[in-house]
Amino acid sequence: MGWFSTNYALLLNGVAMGLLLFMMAVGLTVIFGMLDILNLAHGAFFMVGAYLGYRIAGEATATWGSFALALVTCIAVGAVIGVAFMLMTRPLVARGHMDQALLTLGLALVVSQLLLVVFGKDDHAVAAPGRLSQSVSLFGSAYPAYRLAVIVLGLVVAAGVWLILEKTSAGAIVRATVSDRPMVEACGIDVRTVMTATFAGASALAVVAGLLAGPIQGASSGIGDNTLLLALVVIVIGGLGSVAGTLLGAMIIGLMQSVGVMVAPELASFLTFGAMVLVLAFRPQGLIPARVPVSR
Amino acid sequence: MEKRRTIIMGVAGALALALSTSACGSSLKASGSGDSATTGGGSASGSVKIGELVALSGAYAVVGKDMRNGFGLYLEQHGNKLGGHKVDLDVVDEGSSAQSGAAGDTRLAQQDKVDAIVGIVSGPTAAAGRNIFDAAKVPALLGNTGSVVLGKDPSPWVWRASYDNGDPGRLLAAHLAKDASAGSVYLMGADYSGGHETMAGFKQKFPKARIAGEVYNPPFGQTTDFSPYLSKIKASGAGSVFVFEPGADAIQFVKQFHQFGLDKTVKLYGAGFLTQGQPTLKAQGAGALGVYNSTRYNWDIKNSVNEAFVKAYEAKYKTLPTVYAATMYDIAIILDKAIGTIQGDVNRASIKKAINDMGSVQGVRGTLSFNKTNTIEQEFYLTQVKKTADGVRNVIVEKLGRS
Repeated sequence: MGWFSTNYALLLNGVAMGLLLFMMAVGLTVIFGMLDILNLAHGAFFMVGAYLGYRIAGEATATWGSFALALVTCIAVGAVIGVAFMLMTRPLVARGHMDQALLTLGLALVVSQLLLVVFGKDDHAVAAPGRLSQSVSLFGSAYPAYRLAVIVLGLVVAAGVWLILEKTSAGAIVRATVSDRPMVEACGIDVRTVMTATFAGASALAVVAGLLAGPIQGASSGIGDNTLLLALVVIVIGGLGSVAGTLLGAMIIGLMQSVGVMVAPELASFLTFGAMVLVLAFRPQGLIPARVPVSR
Repeated sequence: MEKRRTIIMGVAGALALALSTSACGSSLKASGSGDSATTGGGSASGSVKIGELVALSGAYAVVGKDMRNGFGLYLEQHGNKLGGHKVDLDVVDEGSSAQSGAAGDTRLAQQDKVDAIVGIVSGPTAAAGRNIFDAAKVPALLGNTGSVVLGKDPSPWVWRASYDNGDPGRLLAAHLAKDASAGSVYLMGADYSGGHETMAGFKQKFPKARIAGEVYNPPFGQTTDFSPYLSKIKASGAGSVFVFEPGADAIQFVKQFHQFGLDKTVKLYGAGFLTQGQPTLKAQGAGALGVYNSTRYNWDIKNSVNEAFVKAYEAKYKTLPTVYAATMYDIAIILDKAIGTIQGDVNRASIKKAINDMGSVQGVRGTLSFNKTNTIEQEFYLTQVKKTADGVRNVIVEKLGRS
């Protein structure tokens, strides 16, 4: 108990970071599974959210109103970017992964440079809304209230994504498209609409993740790429195309980054990739692989 | 299986992206002599060609911008002349990687054939430049980096007009060693040469028994969540923490230090850049209040050169000068004085001799002179972030002594 009361913050931080990573990674894995597109610009979407948070919610202080406005803007902008990317990547669907990776990598550079042109090169912070910017007393020491809110919200989002994909008919169509697209088409469903909606939803989730991470990580040029990298590692660890696996992978990476620094600071940057290597060596399909194999 | 291979490829791609975005942006632009008054003439025609190597893009662009502002202000105030000679300014983008920096070094020293080089944001650019400048026999005055390697193996052609990376730590350590209320001190730095050299300076002058711990975090935006490090600092029971974090990392560190309530029990000391510049202070918000820094420059240094400089800088750029702008302004003062003493041809060799013969000079940082390793000797100050009538500012608390 003594250890817990001094180190509970590490665990909470790990969970908060893990949930933010999940919001990034789940969109990435669904898009990859469904459209066969590895969208390397997903990290740039995250960065868009952080900068919108800086500009709309506020840098030093934010009200509930301004933060809500930023949230709505992020969802709208994310959906629009998603549709735009869907249109841009369509011509390349038949051309193999390398071409798509190059296209989305290029678009990632364009988007992040555009952000710097629009918002300037200074590094910025994002404020948490209202009283969430303060700390609460937890087990006798201060803990930022905003991180607790991120944990709650992250759990709600994770549950929502899982419910939509696993328990609704719309989710069933998405999953069906992932595993057997011709069969879905044969059933008379317009697959293109399903794919566009999925891309839009996944992109909006990434932009919102960037906004929610804003008060923790700020808005600066490198955050998108770092988050993308972690999200890809999460997908490899969790298992491609699996929501539960992505959640588990995100939790592992989040906690590892947080606890790892405490236990072995000089190894912290290797731990993440070490975990990925271990999973690849002993369980290459991921910890919780998707029920229907997505490889084609 | 093919998909899994693709995603591994994606990991590699993203890794490359993470490492290279800042670098990419810069090398594209690494030719910006856009505003040089290209009159073509070398030194013989009466003008002096100055190469200014600063980051215009990438992670250091904010620093580079201030450096240009400082140097530019001096030229503007003096009719674009140094020592009576018209200045042909050749601005080249340093970028944010060692490669783009070294390319800039080479370009100015060999291709553009400038008479002197000023600027340079990062240590790797300066370290690579040392041999390039030495071989080309071109005087270079460094305006930001205090890379220790240049003091260990000095070149007669390179002057660190900035500082030595060990200085802020050494002078702060000597001060805190006498102050029992500081308690034990935890050391934390960004995991690259700047962080290690700064902490090494502190350890030279501080009793080992009072060092509570030491940790280095991955630099330049790779650490976005500082909470695990903050937990370590808290668990160590340190009364003070001495921190070296650059750029965006400084903003997040200071904010989170406040959010986790460490500022209530632990005194936070920075190596001069933790709360530097008004955009940074604004982003840090309430977290910046009370933060100390050991620095070579602050806007409220009391001397007439600085008072005039701050007034002119604020009028032109609508913000207080940073240490980056001030150092470059001092370099312009040094060059102005040195070149003014030259009788006959102004060229690389005569500029070098003039700097060596110059003695001391009055800059915005007070009395400045170079020691035998060509490193500047200057006063250091302890500053603290306070609420003033003009807003939140770094304010000098006391002098820490000369480097």
